Amino acid sequence: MLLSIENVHRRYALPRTHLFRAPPVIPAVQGISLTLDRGEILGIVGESGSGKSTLARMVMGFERPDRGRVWLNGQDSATLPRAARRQTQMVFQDPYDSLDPRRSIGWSVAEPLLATSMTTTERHARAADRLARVGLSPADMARYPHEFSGGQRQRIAIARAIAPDPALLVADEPVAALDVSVQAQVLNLLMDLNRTMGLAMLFISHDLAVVASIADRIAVMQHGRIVETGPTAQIVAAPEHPYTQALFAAA
Amino acid sequence: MLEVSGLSVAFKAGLALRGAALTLAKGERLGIAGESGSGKTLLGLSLLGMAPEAAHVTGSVQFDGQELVGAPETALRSLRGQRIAMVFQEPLSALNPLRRVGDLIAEPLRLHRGLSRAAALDRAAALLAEVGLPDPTARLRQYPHEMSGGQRQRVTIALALACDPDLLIADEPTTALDVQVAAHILDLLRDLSTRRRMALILISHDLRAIARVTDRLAILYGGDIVEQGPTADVLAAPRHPYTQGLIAARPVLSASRDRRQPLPTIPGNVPALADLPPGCRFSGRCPVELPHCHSTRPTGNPACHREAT
Ligand SMILES: Nc1ncnc2c1ncn2[C@@H]1O[C@H](COP(=O)(O)OP(=O)(O)OP(=O)(O)O)[C@@H](O)[C@H]1O
Ligand SMILES: Nc1ncnc2c1ncn2[C@@H]1O[C@H](COP(=O)(O)OP(=O)(O)O)[C@@H](O)[C@H]1O
Ligand code: SF4
Ligand SMILES: [Mg+2]
Ligand SMILES: [Mg+2]
Repeated sequence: MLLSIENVHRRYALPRTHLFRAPPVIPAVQGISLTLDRGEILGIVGESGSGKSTLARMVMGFERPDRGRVWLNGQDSATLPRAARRQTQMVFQDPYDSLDPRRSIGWSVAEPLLATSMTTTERHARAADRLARVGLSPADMARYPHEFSGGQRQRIAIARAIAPDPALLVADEPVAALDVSVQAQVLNLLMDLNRTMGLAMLFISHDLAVVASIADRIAVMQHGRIVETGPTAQIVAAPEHPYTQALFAAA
Repeated sequence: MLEVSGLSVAFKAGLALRGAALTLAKGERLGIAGESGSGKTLLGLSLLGMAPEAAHVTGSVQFDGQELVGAPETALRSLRGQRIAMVFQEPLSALNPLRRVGDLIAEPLRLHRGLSRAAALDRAAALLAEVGLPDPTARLRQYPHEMSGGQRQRVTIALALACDPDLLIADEPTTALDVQVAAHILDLLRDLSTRRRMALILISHDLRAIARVTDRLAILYGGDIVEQGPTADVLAAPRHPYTQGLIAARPVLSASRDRRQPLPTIPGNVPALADLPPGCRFSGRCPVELPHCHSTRPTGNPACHREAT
């Protein structure tokens, strides 16, 4: 098993409103357990504020759960050495979250490889290969992010994420900001990488139709909990939980 | 009520809108759809005489018999305050962050309707109730940043409704919101239009949103209206190859879809203004292109050379 999330919790304290009262607390994630096999795509769907991004940050090790654990390849993600951390990479809704506007895209795609034993030539070749895989030209390496369209920028962010050959890609709303026609292009790219590289994915979206078009399994989140989970075909054919049914009505 | 003909918008780089023609009756709901960069926002702004400085606008926009293209700014401003209103994608940018919600809505009422402060605040509370905000009286004292995205968008709609407009133009009003909040706002816009016999133009790249709200639909690509008709007909039986591609690319919920098959797409991107082909704007991306498509502009509805043969 590639990823195992074991009963994780995460709460955020808000600023104190009264001097003598405890500050209000938001229970963003309240006891989630999930597993993901190699090469599998797990879709997470839920409304805004349901805790999807908080869960993603804990899987990436950006934040520690208050309770529970995240295991990657059988290792506790909280104590993972840096090299093993490269096994999981992330793409965001806004590609600028991972691209530096002042750096050429060749630099941005090769950057995750800087701490490896690869030589400059090897890193350059890898970046060129990854850009080609996402449908861009290696000749684009010298160009800057603002010279590309939104969809192309998201492809570049994906090229960067797959540069170190990760086993797991965490994608948080990767197509939410894109036009319908470009959305389908990026979803096809992700499916293609899943097939050709065996890349497993935690694919997060608020849009059930988008999640269902790509995921093998779906977990439905509400108020920091998983309310329903199962194979995509089953969830789509016969949603059981009222909240899943409500998502269908909105889709 | 609204009659648009030959409306064009030129920038240095090229024509961003080429001779748009539209009509809208009182209380009617029109959707305008297309990929980003196709000219939706520009069309909406041009209807209000609000196109950017750098734009050269020609053609005609008649609102209740009054010509708006080239009309003096004072005439346009009084029209915008009272008879035509607009709601934009990002509610925060439309709301002054330093002013309480109540004062924001009361201001146009005092200005255009001459209401006293107390009367205007009463009316503001009624408007907030009408757009479905709980506790409207308490909300009057809140600042925009103290509300969620969906609540803020309700406030901008209340603000737009303040002077009982005959026409509301909403540009991507729900794009920044999550699905369920978006569905509520869309239903609200539809109901308000019915209740007040207010015409509505809904601009969106989201065909689901358009289907939920509008009676008629115009598809825009590269500054051309390529197809228009009753919303249900256009969505069920699109005739223009661009409309067909747009609809096919939309992910649909289906239990039988083989997820190892790629989703249908429209290849490539919308070209930059300067690179748009002179004939059919869609040539170069069109799967059924003919040899003369690149150089000769198709006319008719749908505007496609395939349709003529
Ligand atoms: N750093 C933080 N400090 C305080 N509260 C936070 C923080 N991060 C998240 N939250 C709160 O935790 C809850 C879950 O947030 P999260 O960002 O995980 O939601 P989400 O499902 O990703 O939503 P969206 O679809 O809007 O991205 C929300 O109530 C949010 O306001
Ligand atoms: N101020 C401007 N200067 C130059 N070109 C512009 C300006 N505003 C819009 N455009 C161009 O006009 C076209 C239509 O833009 P817009 O109406 O914003 O599209 P949409 O709302 O459909 O995304 C695009 O090619 C855009 O780059
Ligand atoms: S006119 Fe030609 S290029 Fe344009 S949509 Fe029709 S067939 Fe395609
Ligand atoms: Mg999030
Ligand atoms: Mg726009």
